[in-house]
Amino acid sequence: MKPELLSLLTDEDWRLMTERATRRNFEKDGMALREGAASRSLFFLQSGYVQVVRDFHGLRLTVARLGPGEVFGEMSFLERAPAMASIVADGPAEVLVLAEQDIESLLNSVPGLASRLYQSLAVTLSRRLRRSGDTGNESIGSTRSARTGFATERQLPPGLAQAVDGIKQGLQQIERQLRGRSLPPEQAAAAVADACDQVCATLERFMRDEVVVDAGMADLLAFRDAGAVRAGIGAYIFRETFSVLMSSALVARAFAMPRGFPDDWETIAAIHLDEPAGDGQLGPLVDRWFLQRPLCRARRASAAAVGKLLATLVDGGAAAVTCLAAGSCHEVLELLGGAQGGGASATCIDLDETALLAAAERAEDLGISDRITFQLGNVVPADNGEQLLLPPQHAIFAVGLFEYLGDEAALRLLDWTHRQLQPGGTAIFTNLVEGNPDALFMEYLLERKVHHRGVEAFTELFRRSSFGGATITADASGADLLARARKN
Amino acid sequence: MSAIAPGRSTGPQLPARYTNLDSAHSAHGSRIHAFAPALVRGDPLADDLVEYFASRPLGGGRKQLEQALDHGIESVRNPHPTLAALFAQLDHVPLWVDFKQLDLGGSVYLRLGPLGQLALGCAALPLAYGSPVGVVPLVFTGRLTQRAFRRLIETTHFVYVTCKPGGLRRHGEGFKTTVRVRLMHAQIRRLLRQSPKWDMQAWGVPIPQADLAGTNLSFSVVVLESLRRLGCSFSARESEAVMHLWRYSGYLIGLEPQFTCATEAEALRMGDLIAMTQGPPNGDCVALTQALMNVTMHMAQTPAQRKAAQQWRKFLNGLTRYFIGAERADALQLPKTRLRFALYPMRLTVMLCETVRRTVPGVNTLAVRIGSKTWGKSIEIGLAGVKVSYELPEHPAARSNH
Repeated sequence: MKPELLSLLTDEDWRLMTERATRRNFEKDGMALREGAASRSLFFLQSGYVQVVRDFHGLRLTVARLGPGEVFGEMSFLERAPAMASIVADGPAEVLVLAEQDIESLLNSVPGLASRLYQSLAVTLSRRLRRSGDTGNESIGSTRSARTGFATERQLPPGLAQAVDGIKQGLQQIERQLRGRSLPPEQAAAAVADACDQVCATLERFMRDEVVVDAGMADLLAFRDAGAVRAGIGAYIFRETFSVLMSSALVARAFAMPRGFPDDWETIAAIHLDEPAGDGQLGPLVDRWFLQRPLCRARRASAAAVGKLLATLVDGGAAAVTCLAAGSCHEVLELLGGAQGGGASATCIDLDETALLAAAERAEDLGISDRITFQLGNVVPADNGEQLLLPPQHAIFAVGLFEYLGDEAALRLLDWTHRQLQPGGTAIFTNLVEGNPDALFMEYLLERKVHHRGVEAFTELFRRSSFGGATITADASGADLLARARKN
Repeated sequence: MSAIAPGRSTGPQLPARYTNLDSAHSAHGSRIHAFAPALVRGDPLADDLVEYFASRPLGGGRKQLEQALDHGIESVRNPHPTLAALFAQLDHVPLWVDFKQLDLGGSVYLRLGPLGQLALGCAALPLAYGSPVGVVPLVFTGRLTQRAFRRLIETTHFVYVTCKPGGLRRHGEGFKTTVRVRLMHAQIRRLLRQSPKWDMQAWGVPIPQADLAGTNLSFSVVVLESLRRLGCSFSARESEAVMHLWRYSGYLIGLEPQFTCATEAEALRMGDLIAMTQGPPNGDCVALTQALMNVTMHMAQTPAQRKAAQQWRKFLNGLTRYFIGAERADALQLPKTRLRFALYPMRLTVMLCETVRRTVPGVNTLAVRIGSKTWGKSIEIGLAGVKVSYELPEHPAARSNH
């Protein structure tokens, strides 16, 4: 079988190459190529799947999965450098290996083969590069915008400054009382929660349609759209409340988006840990408040709901489960570490290498690392059709991913998921619901651009996908939707 | 069956605000078809420009606008096509424009001094506020009855700078103010279109050509007719000059040629058509009109001033009833007041003064000078040192039934 990626080669080219190639068969976990090996051969995967695995201080991360028709070893061949990763069979696999001297011999004897082969390899590398750059997730790697120049002073609604000043003064008073030990901790926590709730209420109040239109009309010749005026109001509240909100460890982390990842693994881990932390007198109290907001409750509730569903689906069997945008891999570690996940194996896919390494370390501690593949990669299929490959899965799920995807990217992901599932397999996805009480806080204070979806819109996505439909339920927090779809 | 069925027309869908079409058809015949497009069209030149300005950094659009207004479009480096297109229209002076007539029309307005302001406040604006859809842009702000005083002063300022000698010449203050107001209309249109609460089916395009036409009439024929009822007299040349002035103002503010009126007869017909098809006043219209009647209360500081302001309000109510007629006044819930009887001696006094003005040489010139100062002074007091901002133009729609 001529690899699709080498389509520029003629049939005769391919015949000559296969004549000289050695055929090798691998069983699961068989090593086709070892990281660091001085191989100059080209490998053509004829059947089965292999993992491209890299070693990170003793922890293994899968950086790609290759299927029939794919080529590997091409970077070492081109650069004449040691292999950057190991190639490990994911199951029975057949590989054609063309040694360097055979390639050189063919290149010297077959007119035009050199240009056709090198061009084919260039296309292979280009596609992989393109794929690594397109995450489909609009938030990943997004830079923060300057929070100025949205609206004029006159376009700040009357009463806004007063409302925000009131909140700040209230918080300053609580801080003074805490320093003077004149306020019991529980009362202080309640007062801080109340003040922080007022921040959200102020956002709601001043983002109302009529208020924004009125504000826009207060300075018509500024020519600002409603969106710009909203951003201006949000920026004002952001600037005025920044010092207090950012004293919370979790809010600060969520705002920081470490390494460009919204909801990075440590943020999610902190939400699951649910232990307030922060700086100064107010920080831990603000943190405590945030941990009880619908957004954090939704993350915990959805993880628990998905965990239960997975446990039911797996039920001690030898199921293959994949977690997309896995982050802390919380659900997978819970499942495989528990009684009902005893026979299951899992793949955790994420773009964040740090997250996967941390999860791999915990898996080692739990003694379940042999049943989990930690795969570095983008789960959203690229526009050009490039995508990750998985062996047939019993269940594929993601918590907190869909809200970062636009409809088109979400659809591509659903269709891809459908293809990776075995018949009867289940997909489970969550999406923050339209009307999420923390929507404005997320958008204007944490700078998260998310796609909230109502039941109808979420259902419609599944209806348009290969699944054709899904069962949608609201989670216990009321801020998240949980969709479950089956591949028939 | 209706002569035109809103929402069922074969052309652009007509909004539900275009009502009472059977009666209107009986009175105006096919004119209701000719006017229908005015309900669905905004001002494409200005609308395109504000769309471009919205994409510019804060203050960038205003800067380009002022540069073009003050120093001409040729002074703007690489003007955006939308800016160039608007100024091409503005800089083109239609063949029918006669600047001497514009100045005459302006002087007629200015010589009326406080009477002109009363006609604006007690006839033009209450008629505008009788339009249930015309007031929606004000309702949208959630501050329907606030800013009434400010809006009145800004409207007065707009009229004043339009009427000053050379006001509508290319670099006149009236010209510039009119262009700014035109772009403010476009920006309001844009903001309201972005609001999910704007009901396009019911209300159509925000501030459509129909409302611009109504506004234009309120400044021309409505004021002329109201002042005649108060005892003022205008020669045919003078009334024609007033119509001419507001016709050109209409051109500059983005009114399409077919919706501008050259004569009082045309204007009265169009005003009646608008009045017949706009629907009866609603609660918002009533609240807005009441706020207008209460503007003097805004300035009253002491109990004595408040008492005087209350008397003044009664007088304004009476005058408004007199100008717009009992039926409209009742619909706007304007109370009957004994002070309406003061109108009769007032009318006699005005008639006497007008006779002197017409017959004694030099008095007309003096009246223009004094009247002009009165306009300027009242605006100065009203603004109290605050720069004119034109928060929301006071004249989303105006109606005439005179």
